[in-house]
Amino acid sequence: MKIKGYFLPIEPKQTKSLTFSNHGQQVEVEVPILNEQDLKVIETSVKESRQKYIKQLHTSQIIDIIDLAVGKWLNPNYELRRLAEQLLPVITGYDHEMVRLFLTDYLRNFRKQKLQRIVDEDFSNPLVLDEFRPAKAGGLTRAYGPESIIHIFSGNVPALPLWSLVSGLLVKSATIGKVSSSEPLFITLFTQTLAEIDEQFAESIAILWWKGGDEQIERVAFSESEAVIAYGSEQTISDVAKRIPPHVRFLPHGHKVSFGVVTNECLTPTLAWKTAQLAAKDASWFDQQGCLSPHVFYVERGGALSPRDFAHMLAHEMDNVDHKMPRASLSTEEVSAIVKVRSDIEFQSQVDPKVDLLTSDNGTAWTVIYRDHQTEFPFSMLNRVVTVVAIDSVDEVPTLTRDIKDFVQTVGVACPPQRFQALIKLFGECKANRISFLGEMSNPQPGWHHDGRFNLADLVYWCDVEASVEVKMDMFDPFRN
Amino acid sequence: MEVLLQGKVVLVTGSSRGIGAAIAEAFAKQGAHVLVNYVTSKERAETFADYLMDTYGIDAFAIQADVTDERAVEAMIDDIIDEFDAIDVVVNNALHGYTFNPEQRKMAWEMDWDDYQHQLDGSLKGTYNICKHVIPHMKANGAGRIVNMVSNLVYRPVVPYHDYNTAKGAVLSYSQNLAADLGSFGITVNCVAPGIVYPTDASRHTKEEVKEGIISQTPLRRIARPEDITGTVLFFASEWANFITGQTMIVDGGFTMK
Repeated sequence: MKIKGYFLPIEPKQTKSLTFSNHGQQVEVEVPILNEQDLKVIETSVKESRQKYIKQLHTSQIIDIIDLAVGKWLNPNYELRRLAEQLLPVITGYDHEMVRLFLTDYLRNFRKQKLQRIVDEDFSNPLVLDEFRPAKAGGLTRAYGPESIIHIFSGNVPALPLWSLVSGLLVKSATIGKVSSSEPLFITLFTQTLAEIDEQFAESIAILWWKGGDEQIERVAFSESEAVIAYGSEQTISDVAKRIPPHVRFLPHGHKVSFGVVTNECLTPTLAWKTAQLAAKDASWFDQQGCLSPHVFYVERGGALSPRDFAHMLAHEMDNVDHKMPRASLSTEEVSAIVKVRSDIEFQSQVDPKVDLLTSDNGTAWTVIYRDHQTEFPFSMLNRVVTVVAIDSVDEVPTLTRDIKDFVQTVGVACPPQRFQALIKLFGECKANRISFLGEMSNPQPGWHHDGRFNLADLVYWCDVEASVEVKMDMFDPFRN
Repeated sequence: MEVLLQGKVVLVTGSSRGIGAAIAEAFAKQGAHVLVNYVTSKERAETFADYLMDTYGIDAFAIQADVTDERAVEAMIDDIIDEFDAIDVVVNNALHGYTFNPEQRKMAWEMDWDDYQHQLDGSLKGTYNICKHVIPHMKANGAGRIVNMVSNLVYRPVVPYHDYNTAKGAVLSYSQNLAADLGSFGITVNCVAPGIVYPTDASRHTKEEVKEGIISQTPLRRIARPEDITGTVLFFASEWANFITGQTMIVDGGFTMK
């Protein structure tokens, strides 16, 4: 099957096919081959469309358009949704069921009231995006989004680029979205839905592709735009950063690390299974490829069940998730990385009773490593490899995660209400950007401060009209008394 | 290596897809010859039979018959006997298509007799037709294994699919009576009662919260896949179950205990 992986105001002169094979099926996604001149034409076109239309809309109207598109996508019978459910597993290798469930959960975050929350989170008076409004300190103020934003989307988790696209649209910017070679489809389909609803609206969006790291193209693209939002590995982010001119605002979202914490109150005979089930969901969802996925669970001693029991229950639940939503097939290198770690740990477990290795029966589907004591942060090679580390008290967590302090993204916690306040204080000081309950690590709520920053407020510039103008212009009023 | 089922001739009704296909494949894996019965999915059944032959080196044929049509069943059994001289194992898995959608099911007061009749025809009459025409051959052989698929909903109608559950209850009762009469001829009759099995075409519309609700009360903490059901069917068909008849094994991860 062949499908278009771009959305452009011009027909590309040349295209190439990105071929994906998974689950015994193959799909070719056609992406455009563009030169610097094409890119300039595209950027000019989306900026002009933005000037004519999106810029004139009120933010509430933009929200309505996105809400209509999301409404279509939440209907499992909507044609493009069905196409995405069919093709995203082939493109990414992820399980069909996981993609289906994720699309619904994720898209619900973009309904009207959720979008309003995203805007309200960053602007105490959202009308400043539409017109000059009275400022509390006197005078008037207004927020302007960039004329155009370049989005460098990542492909590790499908549909994730929607977050970035929507942020740009809410501040009325033209969009140049560069899809990832590993998942070029979702955002193209979603943009098609926007075009179905309001063709003129979609004219300020271009979804395109260039080979990541193409210096010439990137220099042209970045210099023509006012802001660049990039998602990717540390390497991608630092390469992109080098090519961004000083006047262009750069919002990087590089690699981050997450972990889970389980307090001993959660390890009772009735609660332990539920806790393990939630942990297994977090450690299996999108095969740990998202920054929000845990590498390790720190589990407190002193519960009715021990941290080692928890590791065994987690292993059983990892197996259950594998039955329901098997992991994607891996490359030979990825498989040998898991095999190597397993054999190292197996050896350790034979000489050290404080280490346990729990693995799937066949192949490398999942791996749980148990350690009674561990001071270094146990990075996972991902693909459903997770460590359980026993701790005496959650107070140890800041010390145990000191090495990753600058990269902490999400802390997933299972705890009773009595310990909630003390725990959030503790994790805030670990420099966590986000604290969620276990089982929800991969699904951040709308308006969260992604990487600890504002989503929309970081994009805009402000124009303040000082009170002096209001006061003093009356002196020059021809109708004055 | 176990050779308990090698060379046996096994008829699995309704086996071009879902649980039936998983059962057929499990027998093929053990070296048994498999008849893949279907009603409408000709191409699918034939492709599947070819796959079984290529993969497991056994004989497998797709064979068409609507189990509710006695003449069609008779002709199918005759064809099988002509080809293989015997039928060692029968798995009655076919039923009239049923969509398990807890939200769209009929309430008790909305049920028409035709609803019951339809499921009784698919499950009970279908099983009856097959048994009626297989029993003479099994009796002549002095041996035979009949495995009838029922449901754990017979014991605990967590979702009361009135027509489906009632028809499955009838199959269970029918099987016990059959077992009482056939024991003297060396034929065993047993039932397998799965819980919800996902994914299958029939369970595709079951909502996540229903599945989650069942999982939370299931000691093994998950929903069955088609492959989870096959072991019990193989067991009843094997010599390991020589002295077991008239029994029902519930395969639902411990959701139902009795």
